Amino acid sequence: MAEIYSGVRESKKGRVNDYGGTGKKAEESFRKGCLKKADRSFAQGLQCQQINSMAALMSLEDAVFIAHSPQGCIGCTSLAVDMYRVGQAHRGVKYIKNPHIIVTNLDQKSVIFGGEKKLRDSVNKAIERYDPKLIFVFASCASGVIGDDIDAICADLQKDAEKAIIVPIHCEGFKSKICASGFDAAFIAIEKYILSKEKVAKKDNLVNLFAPVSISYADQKEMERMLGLLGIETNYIPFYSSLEKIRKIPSAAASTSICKVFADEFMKELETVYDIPYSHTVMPIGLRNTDKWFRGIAKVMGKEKEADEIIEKEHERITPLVKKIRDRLQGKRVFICGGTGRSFAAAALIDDFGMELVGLETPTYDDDAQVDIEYLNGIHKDFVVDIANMQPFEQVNLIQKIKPDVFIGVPEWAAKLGLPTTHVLDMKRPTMGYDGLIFLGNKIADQLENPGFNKKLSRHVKLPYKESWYSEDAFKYIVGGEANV
Amino acid sequence: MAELRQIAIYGKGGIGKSTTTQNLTAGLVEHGKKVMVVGCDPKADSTRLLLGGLAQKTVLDTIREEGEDIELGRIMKEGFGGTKCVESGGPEPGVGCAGRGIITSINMLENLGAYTDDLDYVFYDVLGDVVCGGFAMPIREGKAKEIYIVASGEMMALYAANNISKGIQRYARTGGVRLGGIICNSRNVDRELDLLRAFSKELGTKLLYFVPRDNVVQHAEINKKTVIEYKPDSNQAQEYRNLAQAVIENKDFVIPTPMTQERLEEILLEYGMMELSDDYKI
Repeated sequence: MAEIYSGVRESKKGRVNDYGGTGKKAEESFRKGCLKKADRSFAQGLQCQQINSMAALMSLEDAVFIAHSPQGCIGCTSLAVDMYRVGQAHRGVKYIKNPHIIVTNLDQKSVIFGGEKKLRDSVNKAIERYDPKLIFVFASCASGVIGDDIDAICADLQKDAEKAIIVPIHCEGFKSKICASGFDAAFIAIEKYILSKEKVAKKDNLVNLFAPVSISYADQKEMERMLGLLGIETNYIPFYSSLEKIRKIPSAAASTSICKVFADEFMKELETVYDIPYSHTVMPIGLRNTDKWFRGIAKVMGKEKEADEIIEKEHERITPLVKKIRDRLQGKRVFICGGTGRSFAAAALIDDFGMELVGLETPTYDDDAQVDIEYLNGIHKDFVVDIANMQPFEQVNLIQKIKPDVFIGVPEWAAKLGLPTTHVLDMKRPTMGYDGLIFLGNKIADQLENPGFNKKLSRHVKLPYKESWYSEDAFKYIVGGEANV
Repeated sequence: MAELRQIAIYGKGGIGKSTTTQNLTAGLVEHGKKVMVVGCDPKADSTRLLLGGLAQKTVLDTIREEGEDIELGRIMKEGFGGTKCVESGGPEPGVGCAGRGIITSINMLENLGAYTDDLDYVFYDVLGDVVCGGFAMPIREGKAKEIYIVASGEMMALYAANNISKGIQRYARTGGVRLGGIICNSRNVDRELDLLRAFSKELGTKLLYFVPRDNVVQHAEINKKTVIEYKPDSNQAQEYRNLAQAVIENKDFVIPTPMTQERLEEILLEYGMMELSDDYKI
């Protein structure tokens, strides 16, 4: 039997989540196979798999999201709810809705005696209250430890459900430290329970465009515009989509994703089961990456020539604007922090503006990352690499030592140190494609020229670390995994 | 008044923990001791002989049906010679988490004031395989400070006893729990006494008592009684009285020194076989 992907990203060989070093060292160690799995003996809080599975789907129309968990586990859905509301506003929705979220509220008694009855009641309530087309049931740490059989319950309830498709998702929070595993768990369930390996008629110009929760509407429009120039019709999923759009997935001629670690495993599966080829390149941030992303999908669709012509035209339009930004940003030293796809893409982007990369923080190092690092090492001097799922304590330590001119990425902590900062993950404003590049560039330059807010902020906010921490080795808590190079 | 002694009984499943604990309890009662027995097995069969049947409503059943606001009298029954009997109980087989159930019910007993000042002994009769943290609850947080492991001369019983000792060693480092000795519930295997003595010595403890095998135990069980109640004049009743005396007098409490699998097998080879008189040959 063929190997079945478990949805846990750690299960893939050569994927490292804890590392501290430099771009050159990382590249060399990885090439020699010496970049070993490590761990942190001290680490700050992370997201869990459950929240990422939920966030990936929570903007689907006509759906109910049932967390089979203690009530606290849905605390962090508030972020996804906010995204959904803002996203609706951007899309011109007049009456803005909240997603329908139900938590089964596993308590002490449910843990001892099993929470299956509560889950049954919740599914029945979901049907009674909302009569949805889709019901997603998300496993949690608690339900996973006690072994509640959510698959059997969903299958049993499905027999009587006339309209709703009930989809159990195995996203127990403790299974993986890599956020993207949560996305994988969601896609595995979608394939199993919604697509069910049915073959459908193909549509020649239809492309599945997978997009995570963090893509703004402006970015969606830019991607659709670009693909439209190639005569491609876009099936934008799963963000702000619907059961109908999910059902269209197998009819597409090709797939691509906006994010490198979103739906990448799913796209492989789609190729195997439904003969849908895919393009897996980079996140389209910056000229080079946008070109690469665009050419990638064009190649799969057999439209490379057209793509080259479009790219040339776009460059003609964009280059003078980029040059203007370059005049404002040339030579500035940058520290970048973001998700796996975004941070590498943003690191390449700064080349457009003639900036210098001095530090890079990203959650995962693997084959894909190696390709990016090789490129970055080619265009920049050696820079610090921190493979970390955020870990602000390491970040602030590095920033204090490196003293970059500007910080691009998730800016909460750097802003409190008084650095000019720009978000590349604010999920609301343009970041991607040719038009997004201009917006982002101007945003960076504006921040650099107007750093007053962060400066004042730093005078009034104190980060929780002792002064002595800033002179310690930022990577002192990374244990194991030393490369013998 | 003497200090309350809280004792946990561990051992391989089916070795006779519940039978030994209840007969031992009956022996202590005859010495005028006040004893509480807390069954920590979801099967809830740890107090059957003291109560004359499975008359007990378990703590967890009561919580499930009546909520957490319950009276102590609902979950504690009086058995042979005034012993206080409690069964923790558990979920239906195959659902929920029995370990969490043990934790909850022991906390509940504390909250309800089950540990009264007049008690001399509390026994925790624990599920054979300490499969998760919940089943270690009786030896955590300074509850039971004394542990006895019931074993026999059979390989798997000794293997389990050695494994349990690893758990005791772990908790002994952080808390006050100590191993009081091994109780042999004989299976009449070759050189059982020698083997158990050697095994106990290797563990850094002693063989506290050797309970011989006697069918009267089976008869008493069928009659839902301890041997001491069923046949007070029998030899076996006297054996259990002696065991009770040994527990009362025991002052040797140690942190066990579990052995490797190889060492355990060496001991078995050394002591566990008699010369076979009818060596089978073709």
